[in-house]
Amino acid sequence: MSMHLHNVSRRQFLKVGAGLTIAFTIPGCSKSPSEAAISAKGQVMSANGVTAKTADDLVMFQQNAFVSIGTDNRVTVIAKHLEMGQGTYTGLATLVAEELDADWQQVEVEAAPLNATLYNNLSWGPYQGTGGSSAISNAYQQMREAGAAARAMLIQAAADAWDVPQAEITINHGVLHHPSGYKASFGELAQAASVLPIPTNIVLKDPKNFTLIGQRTPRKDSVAKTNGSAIFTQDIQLDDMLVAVVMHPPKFGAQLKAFNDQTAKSIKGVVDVVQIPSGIAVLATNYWAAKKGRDALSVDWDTSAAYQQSTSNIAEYYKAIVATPGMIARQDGDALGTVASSKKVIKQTYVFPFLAHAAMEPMNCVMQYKNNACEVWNGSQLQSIDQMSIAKVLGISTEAIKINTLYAGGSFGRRGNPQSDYVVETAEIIKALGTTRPVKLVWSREDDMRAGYYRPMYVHQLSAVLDHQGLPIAWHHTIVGQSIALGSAFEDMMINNEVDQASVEGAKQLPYAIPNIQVDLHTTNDSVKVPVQWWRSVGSTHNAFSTEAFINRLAKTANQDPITYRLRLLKDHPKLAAVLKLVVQKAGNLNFKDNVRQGRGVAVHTSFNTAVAQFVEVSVDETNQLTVDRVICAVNCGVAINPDVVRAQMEGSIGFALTAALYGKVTLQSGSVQQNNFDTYPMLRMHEMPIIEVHIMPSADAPTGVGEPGVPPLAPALVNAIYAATGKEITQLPIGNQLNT
Amino acid sequence: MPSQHQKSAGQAVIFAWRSLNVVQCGYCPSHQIIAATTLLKQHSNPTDAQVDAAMGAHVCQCIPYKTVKRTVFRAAKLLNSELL
Repeated sequence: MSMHLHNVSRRQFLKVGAGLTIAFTIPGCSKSPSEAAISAKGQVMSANGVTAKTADDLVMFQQNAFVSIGTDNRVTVIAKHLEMGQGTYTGLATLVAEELDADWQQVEVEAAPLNATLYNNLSWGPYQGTGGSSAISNAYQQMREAGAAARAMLIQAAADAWDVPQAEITINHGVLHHPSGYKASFGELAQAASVLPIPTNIVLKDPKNFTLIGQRTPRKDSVAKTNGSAIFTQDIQLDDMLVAVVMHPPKFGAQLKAFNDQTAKSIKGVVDVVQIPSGIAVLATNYWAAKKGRDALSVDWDTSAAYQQSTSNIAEYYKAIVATPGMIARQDGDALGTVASSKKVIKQTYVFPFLAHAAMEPMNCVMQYKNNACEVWNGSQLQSIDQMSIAKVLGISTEAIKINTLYAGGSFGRRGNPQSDYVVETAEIIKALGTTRPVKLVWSREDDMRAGYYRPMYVHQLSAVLDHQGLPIAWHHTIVGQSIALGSAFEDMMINNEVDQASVEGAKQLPYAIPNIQVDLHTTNDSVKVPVQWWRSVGSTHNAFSTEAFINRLAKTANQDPITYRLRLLKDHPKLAAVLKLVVQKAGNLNFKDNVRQGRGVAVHTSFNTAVAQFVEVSVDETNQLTVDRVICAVNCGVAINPDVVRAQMEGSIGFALTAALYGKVTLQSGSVQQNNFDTYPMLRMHEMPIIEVHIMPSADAPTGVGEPGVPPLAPALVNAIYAATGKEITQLPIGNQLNT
Repeated sequence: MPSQHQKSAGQAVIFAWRSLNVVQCGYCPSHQIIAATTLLKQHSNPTDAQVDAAMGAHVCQCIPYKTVKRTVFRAAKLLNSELL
């Protein structure tokens, strides 16, 4: 399937590339993707008072949809994926520059415009978007081909100019050379190259000749993000722009009965107050006035139809139904029969909280609807979904929508909302107001934390039977929780026989060799009405925990070493076995500390086709204070395009997962969210960060995911270490103060 | 009058920030860089605990804390070696 899609896209890019020789000084080329990208950037720049590109820069020749080379010698890589911190701009640019033999310093990156025909995610079919740790893996071949095609055209242009055979020309750091002494920069050849046909036979480099892939090149977003010039949605200031803040209902599903906006409207700067489906929007000339306006609203909500449950009720409800099998996700042999007929069954229940994404940039969106066209400025993660959602609200065609994709100040899944929630909210405000002025929706930290779309709460139950050697012969895993995809645009793609594949991912693919396995799922969307969404590593956030904590439990029950035990069962998964062996080897001997109980634990998990093992060392003092001393991580992600980025993603994932494991929970009391800000939803701080060592397995295989796979193993490895130190089995997250109870 | 050392603390921090590829989403480097610069202006050779105290107030969800710490020490080393 992915091969087929890949080929479709390749034809598209060749077709587009062949027709494009664009000088931006010539009018009438407005449909070209490159110009769209340039003008998007131009607007953003001017919106911030930065001078637009000078006329000298404006002659650029687009070799294809993904790379253009200017007569100024600049190579611009058009990035089809959102840069939200994961390093994709650097990764995509590396792929192009590698095959182009460009000098890294001459390469720039800009966001692709909205055009799903050209810029779709090849692993998702016809949708433009970023997620599932798929950016580099889906674009690996595509970006390399784009670079190689441009390179071939430059070589041909040089061969024509110098009247020498193409085979005699080499390129080194962006300069073409011929042994006779001829040389030329890309810029000098850009114009001549641009009129040549796109080559049909593109030859890619042998990976052993890579000079950029695998190197620690500087991130392409590093300078802009350390001198203040990087543009986030929150930075956008347009002429005549209104700022909107929204009062959301106090409970999910509450209806607006009545409101009085008289005082709000009297506040200086407040322009209007409008009712929208998700609440009441206050529009003002600036954020502070809008916020004061919202504070001054007097509102009467009807909560009779709202969701009124507490998370404690949900947990009780889930614990009751987890005892019965759900819809089957995987069935090997007869796990239920083996469990039912066994005298000794090992059983454990695990409980997982709702989690907030808490990206540093709370959700926001800038939109303008004018002359039947809609323009958006947003760190858009799912451009195609945002586009369709806006079209539906405004009643316009999808072609009338332009999205300027900006840097996102983190996402962790949040900006890829399957309902485009905050984008739809912006469109609803514009619709209710009937304005042609640009509107900037701004959520405060509290709005962001309370507006829902959490990692769902889950309860798992695992049951197993061991043979006379202590190895499992039956494994039954039941999962209870809400489906993320149900009712969204992703329903058809992700739900199979009433099983949301994201709910069971990582559990269904249990790597251990066990003859009888059943994994099943209860989906609770009919009764639990909390808005839910994917959260960095999605199903593996809970499934890695329960499977890796439970396998540890089985090893302990069998009185066997948890590492040896896993390795015996991983005989069909050499990649996982290899990363596990590596972390054990790197961990070496424990450094003994005085007056504390020390423990070590491991976990292994494959997500997004990347195998990760983590080894955690903890110490617990006499007051039961937990310190996470060290985390050793080994990852096999195929070829590491930029090892610094891979390491950063592993380190960041470990910190992100540790934050959640120690503290993360969103709770409801009679339907009201109890958390507001970082005082009630704590973040890990620098002094709490363990020593982290990341080891990347050498590999020449195609790259697999990196942004998410570092998250899943941390929490189970941590609780396994706590068990080793204290004998206390943690089965409910977060860990919180459970060591003191 | 600010010394040369004080003037270049910011430069050293930014240089180190870039050379260690610290940025991820990029939303918080502004306050982290200012905090690190302030620390180095006060303590040209900060201890581990001083870095934790100065930088610990700054939350980040990309969590490159270990790299940030290395960056602060590298910036201190740069300043003290007068390479800038």
